[in-house]
Amino acid sequence: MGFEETWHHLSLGFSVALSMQNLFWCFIGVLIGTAIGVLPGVGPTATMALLLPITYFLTPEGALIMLAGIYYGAQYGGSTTAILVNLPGEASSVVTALDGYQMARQGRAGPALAISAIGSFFAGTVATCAIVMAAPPLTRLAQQFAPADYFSLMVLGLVLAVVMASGSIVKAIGMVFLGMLLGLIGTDVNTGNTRFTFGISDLFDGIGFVIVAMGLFGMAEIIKNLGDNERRDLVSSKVSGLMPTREDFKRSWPPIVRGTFLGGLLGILPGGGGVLGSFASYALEKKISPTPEKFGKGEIEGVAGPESANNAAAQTSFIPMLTLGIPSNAVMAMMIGGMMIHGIVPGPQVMDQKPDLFWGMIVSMWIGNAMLVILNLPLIGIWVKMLLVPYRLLAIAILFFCCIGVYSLNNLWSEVLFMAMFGMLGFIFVRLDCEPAPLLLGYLLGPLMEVYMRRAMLLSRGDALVFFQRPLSLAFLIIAVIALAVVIFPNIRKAREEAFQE
Amino acid sequence: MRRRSFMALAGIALAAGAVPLAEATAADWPDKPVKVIVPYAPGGATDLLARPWGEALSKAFGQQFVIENRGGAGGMIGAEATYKAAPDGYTIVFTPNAVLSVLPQLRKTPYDPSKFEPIARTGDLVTGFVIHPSVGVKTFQEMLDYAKKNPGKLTYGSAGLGTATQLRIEALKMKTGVDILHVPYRGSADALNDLLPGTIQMMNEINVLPHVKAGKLILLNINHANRSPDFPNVPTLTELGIKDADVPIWYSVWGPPGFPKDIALKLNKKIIEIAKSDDMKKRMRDLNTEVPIQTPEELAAYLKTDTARNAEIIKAANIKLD
Amino acid sequence: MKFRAGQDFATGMLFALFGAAALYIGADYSMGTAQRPGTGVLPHILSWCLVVTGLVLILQGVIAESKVVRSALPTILISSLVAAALFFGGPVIGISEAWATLPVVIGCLVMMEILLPGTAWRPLAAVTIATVVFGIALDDLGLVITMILTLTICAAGTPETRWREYFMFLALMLVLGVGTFVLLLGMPIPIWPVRIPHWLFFLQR
Repeated sequence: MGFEETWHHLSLGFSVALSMQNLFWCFIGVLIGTAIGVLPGVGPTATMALLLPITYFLTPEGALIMLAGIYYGAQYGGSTTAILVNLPGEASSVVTALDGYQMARQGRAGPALAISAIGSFFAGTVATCAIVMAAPPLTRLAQQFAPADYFSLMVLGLVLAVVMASGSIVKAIGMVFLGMLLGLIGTDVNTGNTRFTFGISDLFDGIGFVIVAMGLFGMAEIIKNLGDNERRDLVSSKVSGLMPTREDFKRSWPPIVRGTFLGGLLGILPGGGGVLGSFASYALEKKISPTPEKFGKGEIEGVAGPESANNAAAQTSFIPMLTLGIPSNAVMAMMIGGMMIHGIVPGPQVMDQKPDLFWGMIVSMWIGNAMLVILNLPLIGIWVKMLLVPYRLLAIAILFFCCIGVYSLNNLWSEVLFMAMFGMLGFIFVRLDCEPAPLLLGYLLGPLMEVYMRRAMLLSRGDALVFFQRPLSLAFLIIAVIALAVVIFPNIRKAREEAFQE
Repeated sequence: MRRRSFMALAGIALAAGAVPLAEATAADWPDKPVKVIVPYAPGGATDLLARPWGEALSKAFGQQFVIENRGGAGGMIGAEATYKAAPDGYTIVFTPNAVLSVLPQLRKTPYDPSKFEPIARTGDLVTGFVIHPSVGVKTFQEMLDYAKKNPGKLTYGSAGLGTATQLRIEALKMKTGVDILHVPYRGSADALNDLLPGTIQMMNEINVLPHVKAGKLILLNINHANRSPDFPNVPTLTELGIKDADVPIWYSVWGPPGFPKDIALKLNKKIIEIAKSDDMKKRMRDLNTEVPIQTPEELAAYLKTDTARNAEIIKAANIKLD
Repeated sequence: MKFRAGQDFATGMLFALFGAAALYIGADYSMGTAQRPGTGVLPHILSWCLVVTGLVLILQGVIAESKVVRSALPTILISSLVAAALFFGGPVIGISEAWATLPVVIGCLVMMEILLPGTAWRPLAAVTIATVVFGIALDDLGLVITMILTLTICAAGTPETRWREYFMFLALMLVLGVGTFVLLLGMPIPIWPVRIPHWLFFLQR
């Protein structure tokens, strides 16, 4: 795209996005988004559904700007609870909770939250630029992916889940398998058969991610903390500064850049690439780091990279929706709904027929990110103060929010019960020193992997070689094997050394 | 004096309020908000159709018609919720025909589709088979010839097993004897994602139409009684000589068993009135939908014929779940 | 890590059990063909992978500290015997064979206590029961009563609770909870009791 054209688009976009009305709706959107991101359970999809009727009364631009603001606002909010109380509200915040929460326990919640916000803002800016300048070619790139390629990407994702683990590799592998099995509970879309449901209709659509995450992370953490007699309060007596130190910044900016590119690229894939962004970034940072064993104990790279990745992915996931009318996830499907309510049919013609809407929305995404940083940075002080509430009371509040959050999803009390079961299971995992993160990843990626495997086999008429014949697929599988080998061999050597020492 | 009669009046009012009315009478219905259950997630095709109707009905009756999304299990959860709701005239379901005429034939549903109280038709989807230009065919007949010469080579993506979009390709295969590979997806957006680069070649949904207009896909025919106003040059299946291979995808409104018939009639008349308005026509056209006019009795009969036709296709194509 | 061997052994047993259960439940799922892999393909593969991983871990645990097996063995034997009895003999007596899971679960918990002593049972019970109560009470008893029940049970889970402080906190939470979720967000949850739930049958007249 020529420089003049880009300039023209940008100025059009700014003129739309900077109108008083649209600025206002942008602000409302990110504000609501942050609020629901912080509240466990209620997610952006549910909120957008609630507000969809209200958007009737707005202009199309205002409506979409607000809805978009809710979406990436929720990303910021979700990281907040992940860091503060180990409650990831969205798939993308799971990874943030790993090191972010540990940083909070060491009294460094402030820097964690700050780097998270700053990294997200950088990622949002770069992603928005990418959309402005390269939306069509990026879309074409995404279109190159066939089911076989998606399958291999998922396999790579699963291997990354094992790589991410800081404890025993064998246990991590087992957790991944277990997670995948749990993810299979429900209706098998390809055949309509139900699996592992025992005839309970509430299980026909599987157990929701939020339920598993809140049980395994949130509830388990509460039980563990309440039982820990030696526990210091969540914030050790000296809270060291709210802002990141110069050292923090120096260590963070490379992961932020790397995470942005990883997440940005993976987010374009309509088939579910976005969810991989933060995991891939975490695995990458851990591999590159001179001190990989410190990951999982509060390394700031483990927050900076994934947070940037997931915000970049959130922004670029708009691309297939804007250019082709294909939603990458449930939130984008909502956005399409929002467009159609205003009589705008999403598809390739939106860019040409409604340029003010198209470019206005894209520019407002950047403005929304800016608003979020301005909103969230001062809030850090308030959040950290909240941590000073005695844990005996905080735990009760967290439990309540988890319960009502889960109930708010589908008004099904059975889901609250499932969460209780996962809470128990999560606590058992804590006692067994098994990490829940690989299980969650297996849970997310397993069913996806199966869908793509079957689709690829169907299209190739039963020829399994297709996974090796397509260059993209082969590349992913090779990377997966290498990553696995890099992780396993040192362990085998270590185990051998230990055996020799005995 | 006044005080006593006031107390008497108050007493009567309290007593009247304390005795629950069994059901509302058609004359004062609706006197409180009506719940419209949509058995799918918000933002989906059904939801998008239901909302203009909800808005129009709210305006027409002066009472809120509130959309409540109860998605899950392919529409079963919302249908079950309506089936078990109180037939007081304040709960109805806005549903595609698949929930009533296809799903119950494939699995055991917690509702008997023939017991729902018919209210009105609210829309038929107007779309047809599209094909990817890479195949090289431009008309429906060319596509059939290609498929006959290359059995099993063409692939068709549906929104899922047991959906009306799958029935469409099975009906076509049944009536013309061609062999096209059916690939189930998780929703039409998922299928469109593979159609655009040509990983699969055919689909039959409304979300492809913007791409047809943009020249990326070719529309071969229309699966409806009339041609689409947006594509006046595309013939219908009947015009092409393939009769009874049409599998309509149609939306309608129903009440739980025991729903008062006079309220159903009142609602039906109002829906017909709204369907004839220019505003609703435009909004439906934006959604590629046409609204046929039927009375509640005709609707019930239509469901029967639809169910019978779908049964035939299901049997011939050996579609099975569970 | 203090109980490394015990943890490995217990985790291994957990995985192996889950895998075996999955294999059993999924035994009838069809395998399909190469072109159309069936419902059972992935569950089958995964179940076996899980079982194998579990066995590896059990081995790791035993190799590191064989004492572990000895301490866990009686529990394993007893619970498997009871479970097998219930599983095969259950239908004979007239109860569902699903009851066999009960001795398995109890056996697991006992084994955990043996292998990893110092488990915090009180908070585990409190939090779990509190959540369950929330689920079964909310629809019938309304938000206020449910909150009182759930939060108080949770508070009972830790000896640190100071009751005076707690009740003030409870009042605050009630206001916050009802205000945010029902009044502000408009969730369809009753605030006050609507009916007596069936599990409180003794309160029904």
